[in-house]
Order: sequence, then structure tokens, then C-alpha cells
Amino acid sequence: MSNAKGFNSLKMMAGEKQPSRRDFMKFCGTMAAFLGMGPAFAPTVAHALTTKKRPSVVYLHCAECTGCTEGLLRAYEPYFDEIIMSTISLDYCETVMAAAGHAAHAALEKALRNPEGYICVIEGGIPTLHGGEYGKVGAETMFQLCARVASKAIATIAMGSCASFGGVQAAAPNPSGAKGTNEALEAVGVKAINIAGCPPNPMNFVGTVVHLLTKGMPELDNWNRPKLFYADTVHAHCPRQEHFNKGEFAPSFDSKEAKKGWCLYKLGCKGPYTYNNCPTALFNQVNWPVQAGAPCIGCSEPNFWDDYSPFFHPIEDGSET
Amino acid sequence: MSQTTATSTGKRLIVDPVTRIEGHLKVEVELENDRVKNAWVSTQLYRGIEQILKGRPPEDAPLFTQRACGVCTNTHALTSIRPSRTPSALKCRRWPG
Ligand code: SF4
Ligand code: SF4
Repeated sequence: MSNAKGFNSLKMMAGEKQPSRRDFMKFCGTMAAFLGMGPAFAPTVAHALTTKKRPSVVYLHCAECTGCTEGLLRAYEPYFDEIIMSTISLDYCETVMAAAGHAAHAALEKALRNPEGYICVIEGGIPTLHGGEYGKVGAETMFQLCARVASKAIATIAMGSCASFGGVQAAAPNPSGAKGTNEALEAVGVKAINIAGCPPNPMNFVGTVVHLLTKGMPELDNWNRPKLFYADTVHAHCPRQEHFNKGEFAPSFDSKEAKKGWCLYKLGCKGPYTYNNCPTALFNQVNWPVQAGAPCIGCSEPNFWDDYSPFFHPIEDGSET
Repeated sequence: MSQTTATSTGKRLIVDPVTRIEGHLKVEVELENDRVKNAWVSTQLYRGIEQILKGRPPEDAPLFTQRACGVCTNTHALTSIRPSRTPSALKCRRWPG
């Protein structure tokens, strides 16, 4: 199958039609609001997205579960097709592309030769032990692939906590020596924007891309996360907080107190130690874990798999063993 | 779609990466007179979730095993709950609460 055919089927899969002008303006309005700019910024977003060519995105998959891509595929307003039809040109992504094997490689090399450059997105940790042989794509290790693609990109986005900080495979004893993008690729000069979360809210990813296109590099915190989305703790905007303040803690998940909205801290909630916008952005604008009755496990923080577990105990209990 | 190379006995066909799946897969097929003589399928990623789980509280297991796959998340979560509810697992670890 030729590449052109491969891309066409990708586009077909994503919905052949261009989004209507109304859908597109709605998308720009949603983005303007999400970036905290107010409705007046919507035309700027629209202008940037229509006058500039959609930037080429090369999306690499490393040591991961693909949950971040799944989150993105299920994004709601903007839908995934709107994202790839009006915001980016997804030129390489193993999960959704029609081409495979040799043709996939050819698509990658073609995208890398794009004279206008490309944005590199990395999902998953990068195995580094034993020369990185725990993870390979084609003839290359994931480390080699990421190093050569990310070092030449206009910008690199680490999608999810695995790409940001190593993730679940980096939990003790980290059998494959998995590392986050910035730690693994520092030597080749890569400084990725970390869209932390397991999975991250797809809006944080799309918002970052739109910010890059309209206003350039977003301001980042100490962990390279955009301050726009990761400035506050989950606890700061939690609807259960009034109960926390009154010392009203749910004794069990099936208690009537938990259903009444009492605080989940004693059941293991790590919201006070976790910087993320779940309670304000919501997932797909519908709900988020703590509101649904599950404690925050701290998924946007470095090493949360080790540092914030056991997950169903308050952090001050320490590890069980 | 695939790279075919001639070998002394016939042709070898390699598809790597296999796309539209979760995970990293490589397929190698050996052809003789245009018929499949031998085939190898190998995953190209090892993360060691089993090693990571060792020694952790059983109630944390579903959260870890979910990350085996972001497509069929819940089957992994539920499967990890099953062994952690067996009497031997309960004997090994104190159930919280
Ligand atoms: S449930 Fe968690 S985030 Fe919400 S108030 Fe309690 S400790 Fe804070
Ligand atoms: S509530 Fe906590 S664990 Fe859940 S998605 Fe948000 S940051 Fe991650």
C-alpha cells in the first residue's frame, strides 16, 4: 500500500468531511475558554489555525499501555477528527495509521524530512537498561528512535506520566530501566513539555498544541508541566473540600457518607499532593475520579507509583512493608 | 506493507511495526514457493509489570495491571483481583480495614 493511500485511509477513518465552519468556531471558542483567554480570543485561535498550515505531528509510542492515545481518541468537543482535521496533521502514529511495517517507516522518514518541521509527541517511558533493548520499533531501540526524532523537532511533548517521568514501568524495581523523556534524552538536548497524568486529560494536550500555535511556548512549572493546567492541586478545587475542612472523612467507599460527598482522604486520596486540573477541566467535560467516588492516586506527579502508594491509605501511613 | 527479502530457501517477509494495535509487535514469515513455511510473532517490549507487583498490597494490584493495556484496561484489573481474593493471598497479606 502506498503512503498516500495510507494517509487517505487514516483521514477516512477520522471522518472524511472537513468540520463545518460552525463546529470549527465552536472548537476555537472552547479552546479560547480552556486557555483562560475568554471568548474574544476565539478569532485569534481560528486565525492561527486557518492561516498557518496544520503542523505536522510525529507521535511515537514507547513503553506504555496506549491509554493516553485512547483518551485522546475519546476526546469530546473537540472530537478526535476535529483535532486531526483542523489542528494538526498526524503524519505518524502507530495506533491509528493504516500503513504498517515498511510503509510505516517510509511515512516516518517522509514526515522527518518535512521542510516546515514537525512537533514530536512521545507516549510511554523510554527503556534504557542493556542498551535499551527492552523496547524496539523496527530495527531501532525506542531510545534511538526518540533521540533522533525528538532532537530535531520544533517542540517535543511528553504525553502522559510515562513519557513525562517513566511511569508504571519505572516503578520499583524498574526492570527495564524506563525513564521519562527529559531524563532519557537530556544529553541530546531535548526539553519536552510534560503533559502529566495517567492518562492526562486530552484537553491538556490539545490546549498545549493550540497554545504553541497561537502564543508559543506555554509557561512551565518545575516539572515542565504547563502552569495553565497544573498550577493548582486537585484538592484546591475538589467539591468534597468543605467536608475535609470540617474533618468529615468517609469511613468506607460504600458508606452513605462517601455518597453524601464526604472527603476521601482517609481512604487514600492524594489530591492535596497532586497538581492537576481534573476538578475544573473534568474528563470529557463530564466527571472526574474523586467526584465519582475514587480517591486521587496522584497520577500527574513524578514517581507516584512508588511515592503515593499504597493507594488506599493516607500518605502519612507510609509503605505497608 | 511489508519488507520481503530473498533467502537461500525462499522469501522472508517482515512486518515491524504492526500498527493499529496496542503494544509493539513484529511478524516474520518465511515463504517457500509462495507458501508459508514458518512464522514468528514477537512482542518488542518488556516492562516487567509482574516483577513490579511483587510485594505490593493486593488492593493496589488492579491499578498496576490496568496499565498492561489502555485498550482492555478493566479485564486486567478484574483478573488481578481474582487471585488476590484467594485464601492463600489473604493469608499472605493483611486485608485493609
Ligand atoms: S477527596 Fe481528596 S481532593 Fe477532595 S477534599 Fe478530600 S483529600 Fe482533598
Ligand atoms: S484525580 Fe488524581 S489520580 Fe485521578 S486523574 Fe486526576 S490527578 Fe490523576
